[in-house]
Amino acid sequence: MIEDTRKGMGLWVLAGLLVLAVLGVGIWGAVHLSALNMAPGWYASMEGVEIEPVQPEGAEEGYNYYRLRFVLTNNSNQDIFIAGWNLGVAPAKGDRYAVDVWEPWDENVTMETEPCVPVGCIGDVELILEVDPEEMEGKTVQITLDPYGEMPLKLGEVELP
Amino acid sequence: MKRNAPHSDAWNAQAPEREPWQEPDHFSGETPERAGGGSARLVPLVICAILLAVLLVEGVFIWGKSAQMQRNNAVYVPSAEQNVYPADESFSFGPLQRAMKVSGQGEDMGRITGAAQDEKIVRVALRMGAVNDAVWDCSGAFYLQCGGTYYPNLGGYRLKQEHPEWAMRALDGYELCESGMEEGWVYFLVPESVSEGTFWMHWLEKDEDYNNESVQAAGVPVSFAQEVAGND
Repeated sequence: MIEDTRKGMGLWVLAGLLVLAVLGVGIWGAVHLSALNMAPGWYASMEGVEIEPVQPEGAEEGYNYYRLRFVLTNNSNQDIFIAGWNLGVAPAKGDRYAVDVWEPWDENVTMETEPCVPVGCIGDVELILEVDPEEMEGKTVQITLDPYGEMPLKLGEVELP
Repeated sequence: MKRNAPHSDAWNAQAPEREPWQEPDHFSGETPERAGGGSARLVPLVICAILLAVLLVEGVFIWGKSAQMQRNNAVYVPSAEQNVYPADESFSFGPLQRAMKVSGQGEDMGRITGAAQDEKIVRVALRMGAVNDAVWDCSGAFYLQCGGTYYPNLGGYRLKQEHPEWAMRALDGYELCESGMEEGWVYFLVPESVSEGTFWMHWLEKDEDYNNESVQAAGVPVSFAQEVAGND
């Protein structure tokens, strides 16, 4: 009898957990679909990738810096901005933040240039990469369009020299 | 000392080990104990099954809807139809054939507060003729192409903070789709090394979901000289 009661209780607990799961998935789904509703889908490709080591002014010790250049064709229905939030880099292996687009912060700058590749155009891209060699596994870096968005597009890979 | 032990043993020995409520159920073949426990478990079991089914349907719906939205969001836009026109001459642009005139001599406004050390403002003079119809399924944009890099224009809103006097006559890309005559300046924040480029006007046609689906672009070569004082 006691065993049956325990089994009954267990099922009620399971039912409670399922209710929470239904609510949780429902809320997550609503947020996800709402974000997708706003998210652009991408059609873009890159060619002519070049990378070279550089030492920019304001570089921090312990990091390596590289100038990455390529030509980007944008057939998406939105402009592609040449900045870390729109064109991202990450190591193929290792810590996600071992490589980043270098965008030094200056509190006096309130207005920055925003180079982009407009819809239906081909444009040059130049980014400075900041690499933490201790966190980096291997030398392969992935280049991704809209890295923090709902529908990122992997453009390709490049080997650090 | 177990005072009740003999009595208890006697009870156990003679009792049929069954209370009245524990009489066998001759119809189901189950003891009432089992049947009672079963019904106690049946309700949460059914609820669990229903919730599991709801969870499954919910998951399939979200996955399906998300895949459909991803397909819909990815609109392929063909390469822009680009035409380059000479400066200081009128030409027709866009589906409405609006008359446009761009001065080949832009102005270098120099550095402004809030911009980085190695950046400056340049501006291009533009005149847009009046048309009879306004178009709603389009948007417009201005860019300055220097080498292979495109810079979008600074709209009046962004200029207002530092230079409200510039913002008053600053043109924005959306004005390409309007019908009235407009004359003003298109401003760009560019690297200090820029002395010339191509000024682009983009006319973007929208599909029924208001996604850009095609681009017509008109470019005019411009160069930048230092600002002439008082010429606003």
